[in-house]
Amino acid sequence: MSTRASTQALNPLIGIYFGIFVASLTGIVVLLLIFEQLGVVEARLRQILLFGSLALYAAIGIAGLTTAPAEYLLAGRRVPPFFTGLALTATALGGTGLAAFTGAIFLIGLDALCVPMGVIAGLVATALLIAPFFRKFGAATVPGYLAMRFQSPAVRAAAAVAAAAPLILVLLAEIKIGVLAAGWLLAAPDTVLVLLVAGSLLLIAIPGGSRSLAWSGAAQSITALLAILTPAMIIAVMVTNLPLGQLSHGPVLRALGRSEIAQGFPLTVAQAWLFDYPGVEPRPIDGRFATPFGSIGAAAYVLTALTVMAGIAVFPSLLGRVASATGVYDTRKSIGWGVFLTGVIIMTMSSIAVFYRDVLMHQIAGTSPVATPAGFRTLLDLGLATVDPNATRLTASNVSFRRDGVLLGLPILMGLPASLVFLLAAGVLAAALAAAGAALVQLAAILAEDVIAGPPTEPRAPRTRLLAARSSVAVVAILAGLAASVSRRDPLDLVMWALALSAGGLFPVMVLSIWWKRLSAFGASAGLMAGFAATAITLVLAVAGILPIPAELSAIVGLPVGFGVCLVGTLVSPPPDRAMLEMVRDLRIPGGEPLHDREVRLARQRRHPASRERRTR
Amino acid sequence: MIERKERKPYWRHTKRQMLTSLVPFLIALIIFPIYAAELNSNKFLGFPLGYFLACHGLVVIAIITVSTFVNRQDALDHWHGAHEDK
Repeated sequence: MSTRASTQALNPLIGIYFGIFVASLTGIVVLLLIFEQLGVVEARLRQILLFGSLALYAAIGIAGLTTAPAEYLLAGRRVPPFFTGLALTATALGGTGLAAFTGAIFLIGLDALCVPMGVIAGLVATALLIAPFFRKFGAATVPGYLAMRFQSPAVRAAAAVAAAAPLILVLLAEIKIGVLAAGWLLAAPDTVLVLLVAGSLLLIAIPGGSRSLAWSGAAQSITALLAILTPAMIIAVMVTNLPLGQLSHGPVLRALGRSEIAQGFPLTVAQAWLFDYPGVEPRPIDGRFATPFGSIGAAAYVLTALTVMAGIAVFPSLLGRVASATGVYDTRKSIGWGVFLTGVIIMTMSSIAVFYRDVLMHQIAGTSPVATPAGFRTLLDLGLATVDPNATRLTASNVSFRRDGVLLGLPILMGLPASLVFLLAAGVLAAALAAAGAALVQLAAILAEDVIAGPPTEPRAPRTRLLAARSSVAVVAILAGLAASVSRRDPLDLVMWALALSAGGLFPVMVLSIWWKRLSAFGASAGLMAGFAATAITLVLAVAGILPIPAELSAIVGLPVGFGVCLVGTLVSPPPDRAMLEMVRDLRIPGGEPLHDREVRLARQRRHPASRERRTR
Repeated sequence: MIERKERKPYWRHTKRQMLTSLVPFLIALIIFPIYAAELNSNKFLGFPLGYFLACHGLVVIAIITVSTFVNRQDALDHWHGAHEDK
């Protein structure tokens, strides 16, 4: 039994299935709108949306039940580009991205774009530098790729640590944001919500692993896209009379800029290294929206964008999604879809932020705290905004906003039907589940295939492999649920740390393993360990407040260290042998058999020369 | 399947293609926010130009970069016979 994907073609009905999914989702939302008009209690509506959408994802996950390791680990390598692109979008942004970036853009304006722009740049960089080659190699996990590329168990161990750490952080962050979003839909204690989120992850991931994840992840991304685009479109029509708020919020923004000047917003210029990204505590809006470098310095802005780019470009859960694409050309194409969809979401988020600020400046500011519009009172009741108790007149500086509640706040403030607000919460939950699921499955694959098992060339019964993978998923999900219920950290912090660790640890080795054929196994393992250790130490010292740099920027230490040690380690060790050079040359050519499959097949032939498998191609 | 002597020119072209796609994008990623404040006094499609470039401009450039890369690299693969056989 090899990891070779089955040659079974893609189900031609897949488009119809997803048509049915979109229709049933739309059906649920339209039904909710009708029920709402008929006067059904809001709590019931929320429960219908929460359990309805979770049931749809779980059904898709269970329908992906499989008993073949190639399906469980690689989704049979037959996820077409658009669906991979959808999954990449939700995995790259996650629920954290949807909720936190919108809030951050609203609170500090243009400065907050450094992280989302880094995400989109990371997708571009992975399309050009890494993903197509990773797909050609054909490994299911990042440590699996590096270990076979350098024929070295040391690299496997180092890469397993360097890949697992960011995945654990992202898994925690996404479960936490999923719990927050589920809490908007279901009034229950946090423990119940953690159980609900982790339980849905188990239902989605255990039956079919990567295969279940591919299809339910696509469904979750569609939910997230619809959830954010529909209210944004309605609000855009209300404010600008045009449905494309992403392209029509310009005049609103200029009017906003004029009233910011009229109300005397200070024109601050931050120190080049200041990094004041909004955290979970409520805070008032800060600085003029369209003027850069008020809360984040120029150097910090550019370096954040670049380190986030490096982190996303090699992020193990994204590469895990790419591994199940149909081919090398299709990998490039699917990242193209990912860039397009991520770009649309980022532009939507910034249009939402502009409309929110506009409403705040023109309708809320100036009113008395006791006579505010009804929508604003709802915000206060929900705790999404707080007013300074001494305020006699509301201004932009005495109203504080909770960062993650901004996405929900605008439709409430504009008086949109409650069902659409709940849909947004369901969208955040969907994106969180997609990103958490991708991290969970990749983490479980690393545990089952790279840590527990030996080299993949050792023959193992498919049943053992599946059992190991399934139990890893269960163990990881349960541990992550437990950790998420005790962790008090801001989810965005966890994501930023994860990106820093993946940038500092994995980026140098992953890039050089493809683009520099001289890189030796010693250089790779040394660079991997040094880069990861340097980033991790910087991160810990910065979080503890000992180092004066922002913890989110730890990769600026790890990246040069990683590249430097790779370089020096390679130059002091003997050059790679012919077989390894041959492997790099093959890795660079899109055509031909995936190298991982070829290595596994050849090793088996050497071990059992009698029972030589016939080549299928 | 690619011929052995084609591998070197193929990789040379691939490297050149990667750099021509990546470098302009990186320059835009770094330059746009830095000059956003100065550009904001201009107007484009109703937007302050600096904000428009730092937000929409980068997204558009990213989409153009990847889509041209996909097409050009695919043409390169076929030219050198390095494409996948389906």
